[in-house]
Amino acid sequence: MLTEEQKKEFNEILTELGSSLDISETQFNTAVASYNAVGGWLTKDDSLLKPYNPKVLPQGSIIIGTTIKPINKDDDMDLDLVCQLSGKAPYWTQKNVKDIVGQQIEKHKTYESLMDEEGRRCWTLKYRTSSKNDDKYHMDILPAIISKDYEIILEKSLSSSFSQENVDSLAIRITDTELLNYSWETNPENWLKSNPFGYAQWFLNRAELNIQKSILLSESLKPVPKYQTNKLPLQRAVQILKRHRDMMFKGNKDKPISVIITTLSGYAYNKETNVLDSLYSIIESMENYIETKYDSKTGKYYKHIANPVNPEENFADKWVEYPEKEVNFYKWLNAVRRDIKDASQLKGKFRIQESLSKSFGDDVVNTTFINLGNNTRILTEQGSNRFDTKVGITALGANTIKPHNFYGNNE
Amino acid sequence: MGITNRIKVLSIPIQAGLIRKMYPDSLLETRNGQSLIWVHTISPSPLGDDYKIRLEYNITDMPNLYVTNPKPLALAKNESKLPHCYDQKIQKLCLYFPDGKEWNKSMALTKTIIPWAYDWLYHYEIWLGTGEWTGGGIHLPSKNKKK
Repeated sequence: MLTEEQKKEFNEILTELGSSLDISETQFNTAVASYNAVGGWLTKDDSLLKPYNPKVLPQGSIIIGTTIKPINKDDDMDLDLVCQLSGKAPYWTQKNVKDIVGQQIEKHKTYESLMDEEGRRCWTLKYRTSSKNDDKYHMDILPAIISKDYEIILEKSLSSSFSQENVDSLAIRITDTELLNYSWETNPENWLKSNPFGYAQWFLNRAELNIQKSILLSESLKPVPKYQTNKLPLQRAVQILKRHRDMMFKGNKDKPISVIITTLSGYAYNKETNVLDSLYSIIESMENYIETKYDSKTGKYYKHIANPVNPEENFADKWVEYPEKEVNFYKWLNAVRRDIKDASQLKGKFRIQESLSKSFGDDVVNTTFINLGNNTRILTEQGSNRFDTKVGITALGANTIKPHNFYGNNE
Repeated sequence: MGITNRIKVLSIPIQAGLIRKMYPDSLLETRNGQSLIWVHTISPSPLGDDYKIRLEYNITDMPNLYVTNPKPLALAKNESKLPHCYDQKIQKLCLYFPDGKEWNKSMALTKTIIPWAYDWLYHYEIWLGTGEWTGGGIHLPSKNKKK
């Protein structure tokens, strides 16, 4: 069992680890510039989409503040966009909507060359060396249909507090090549529903604390959103869990997906006000939010992880067809529990560092500890660092440390 | 106006009394009111390891602080010596800039040398793990630089 002071220090380590996982401001700004460029192309005056008031918005981890650096500099970063059309020609099917967005993307020579194979619901641009700063990402563009007055609804929803009713009104309709009605159904009411902004509202509402307000979704959806550094404990916990997953599974296709980790974390989080307690509480109880349901068609039981803004949607729907995904989820959960516990039971910060490096990667953990050291030096320089005779340097200590300069020759 | 002329020297019995008050259960010896030796095990932070330190102070000299256990202290990867250390063998730490302002005989060891030992050990643990000394300070350039 950790003492109060030890918990406090371990929390500092985890909080700093979380911020070391943030993408840099430059990476963030480059990402924003890239999606604005794509957005500009899709919405410009002579765009094929122009008659349908196209709008391109970011979605996913970037708007809920849980994006993390890839493990290797050379790895791709994911960037998810929605390309919304408010209305369509009455005879258009899902296929027509998907195709016209694809056509407009391909009219741009560069984008055409970046275009990946057609996805089930998205078009994907794979940015390589052509992008600035050598950043590489996968940009997923999700074609969607929204109602005529969606913009007003979104605006209204962004400025009011979270409610299920509000969130329901944010649903959009998307296309899916694997649906039987993909190439004939013209009524969007019968297309697949998705709700990226409702989901973001839900998550940010879960993350929000009385003492610290959440970043506003309206800020993230601005054409030039601000880079956020001050994150809430739930956001930090999710970042840490996602990185642990990345380290454990590398490129494995059957790894636990981010939306499952993020959603279960959101459910399990109890508004703890620090990262350590949040993480403990999440890994302790996240599996309780996986329901077991009975499928009367197959006569079998299956796992259901409900989309909080559309409970019928099962984020674990692939677990039936690919049981390895379910197995991996539980393997991962056990590993993350063990790794956090192991690291917290060591004496000597360098041992803790060594242990965390195995679970979260040398680079970010090294940066984490250097930042911690620098923070402590700054406190000492300011004359505000404290220590306790028994437990050492801690903000709870009774004595201050007088500023001083370590000295010495290099012999 | 020399500062050194004006300071009020804290005697060995006073220094020893302050240490005893702060660390009632530690090993402290004084000799003829002229010198003191204090030995204690401290941890630089709640999650830090334990280190045995020895403080020697003779009223005619500067205080010396050693890490006596572990000995030798482990070194960071690719490093051959401890940072900010007067003597690698006896592990004597350089805790302050000797200009008579950071430390002089008017100052309590319990408010200077001893807290600075925690600070050194704190940054030592970071250095051991990362190879980077984050504690700041002043390093004299060495005569013949070897890499």
